[in-house]
Amino acid sequence: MSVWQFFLNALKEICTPTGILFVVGGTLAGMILGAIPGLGSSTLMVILLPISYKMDITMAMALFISITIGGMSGGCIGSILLGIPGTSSSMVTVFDGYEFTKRGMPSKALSAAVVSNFLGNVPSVILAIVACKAVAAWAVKLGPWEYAALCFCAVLMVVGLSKGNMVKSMIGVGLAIFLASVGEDPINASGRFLFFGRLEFLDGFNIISVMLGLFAAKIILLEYARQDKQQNQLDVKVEGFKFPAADFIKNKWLILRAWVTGAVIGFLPGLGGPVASVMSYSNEKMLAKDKSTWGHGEIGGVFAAETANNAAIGGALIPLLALGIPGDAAAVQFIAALNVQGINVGPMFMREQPAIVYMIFTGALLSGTIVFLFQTFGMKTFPAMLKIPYHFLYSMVILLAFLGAYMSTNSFYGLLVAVCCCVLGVLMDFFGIPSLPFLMAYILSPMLELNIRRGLNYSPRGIAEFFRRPLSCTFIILGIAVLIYGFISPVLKKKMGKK
Amino acid sequence: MEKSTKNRILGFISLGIALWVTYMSMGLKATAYQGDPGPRMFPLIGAVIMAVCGIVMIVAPGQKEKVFLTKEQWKSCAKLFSMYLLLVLLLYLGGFLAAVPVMLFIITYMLSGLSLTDKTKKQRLVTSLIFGIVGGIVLYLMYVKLLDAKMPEGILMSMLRK
Repeated sequence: MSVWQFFLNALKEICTPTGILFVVGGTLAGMILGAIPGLGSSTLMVILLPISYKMDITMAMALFISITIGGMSGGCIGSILLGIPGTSSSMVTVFDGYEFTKRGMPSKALSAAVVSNFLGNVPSVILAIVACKAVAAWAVKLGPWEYAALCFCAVLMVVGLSKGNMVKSMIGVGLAIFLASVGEDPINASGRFLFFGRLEFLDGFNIISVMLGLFAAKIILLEYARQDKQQNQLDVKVEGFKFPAADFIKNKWLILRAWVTGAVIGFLPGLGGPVASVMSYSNEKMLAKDKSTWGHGEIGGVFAAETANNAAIGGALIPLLALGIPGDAAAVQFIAALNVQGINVGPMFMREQPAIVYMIFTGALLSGTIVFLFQTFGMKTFPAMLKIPYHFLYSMVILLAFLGAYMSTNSFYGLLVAVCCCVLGVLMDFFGIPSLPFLMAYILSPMLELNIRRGLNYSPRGIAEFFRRPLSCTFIILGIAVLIYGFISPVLKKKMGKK
Repeated sequence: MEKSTKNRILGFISLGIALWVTYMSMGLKATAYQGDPGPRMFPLIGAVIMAVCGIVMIVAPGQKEKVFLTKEQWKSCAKLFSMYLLLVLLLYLGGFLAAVPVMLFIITYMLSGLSLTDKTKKQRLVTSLIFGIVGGIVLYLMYVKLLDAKMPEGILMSMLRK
């Protein structure tokens, strides 16, 4: 079947009442949750994970990509109107975007953000369509040695490139490796760590229950404890969308640079939208002739941040679909949803499941367009999105999370795992252990173990084979180099700062 | 600068878990496949990472960080967490039909104290009650009718039925 035929089939599926509901509904729901500070679209995806088991997998993927794109595009609404980012990806949009609201011109910043959202995500998805095919053609040649080294590299890159204490990130990785080891051994199927002799542990800790506890339940717990919500009073009037023609022409090269930055950073594991927007904003501020306006209502700041974080979506799709390596937390949820349906994501994914892959691409392109149309014509409704009563939303999310945890295993075991993971999530936050390296290691551990052991089984040279193969050796060295860089760069910066 | 006791505690916990995982892994049987390091290799890798990082945290804990939650915030956290536990318990005892509307009402009422500050206690109570009933019906239709999912019946409900 040709590529166009896959696109046509995906389009046909979307053009059914269920398909339209999933894509349009998913986009709008993602956008609303993305706009509300605290929850984010990822919470919606997590609570939908157990339900996705009952859905057609291609449609579930269309729903998930729509929520991702809606969520990323909605993040700027909270940033610009409230001065509180809806998602971490729109953190830097606050600096300049909120200044426009203070001056009584929120529509100017919102219009720039709407254009940036569209210019960021749709071309980046097109890039992913082109690049995925090439990367996947190369990926099928990978053996267990290369694939194990790739997973190893991805986990170390997340640790090395992520912000915060790297030792703590590594503790998270170690813990994830241990927790992922609970259950059936991938080679000889014997049970490992069956605590109290309970056979429930043979299935390990279900990723859905883990994510429901670690994200949905924990987030609401901490949001409630911090009681931030009562302060979000909004009294802003937003006019309709006005195409920022003059600003767009003035900032055309800035937008292009931000897009490239976003797409490249999205491709790297563990970075995603938040880092893309920060890096793009910093670059553009550095390149600006007049730096004094940045942070005080410079429209270029909104263009830079929003184009980059949206471009990161397409960038993250490349390793996810072509290699089975998640680029960010949203990608982890895609893998979890596929695993729930018994589909393993790896280098053969594009070849074995083209219908799912092209559904993700088609859903992404349509969702990007829907976001643009909705944000263009429905800009006046933005303040209403931020006035959704939290007590209704949060209580429903709690119920959905715990019912989903039960549903994921059809027993109280799943529920208890979710409760324990909620405690674990709070403890991790308390000790400052970032959740992304933990999650990446947890989702990649089964593949990593399987491929390391296969590699050791298949070759008489044992561990040396991992270093004899050029690609495998390159990935291992790259991973270690990034990790070392992560450790020494703060020290070097400190020393240079002293000089 | 004051050293972080919290990080030191993390170091000890990490080291403790690592030692426990190592002990547990040693009890796992090796495989008969040639070249296969067996099921203990992977958890041992995790244990080594945690042990090394734990020692680093104990030796070089870094500086004291800002307060994570205040005492009052911890209390709120415990309050909502007890609701989570109550939900699990109610699901176990009373099942889906009893637990969902009741817990939806309780949690909504509890959270409305934050976002419906302009409403009286009675108004909040009525709103939460209506939401509990309507939300319960919606969730029942979604899970049981639409998704055809097998939700918990509750041991008390099963006993009553018998």
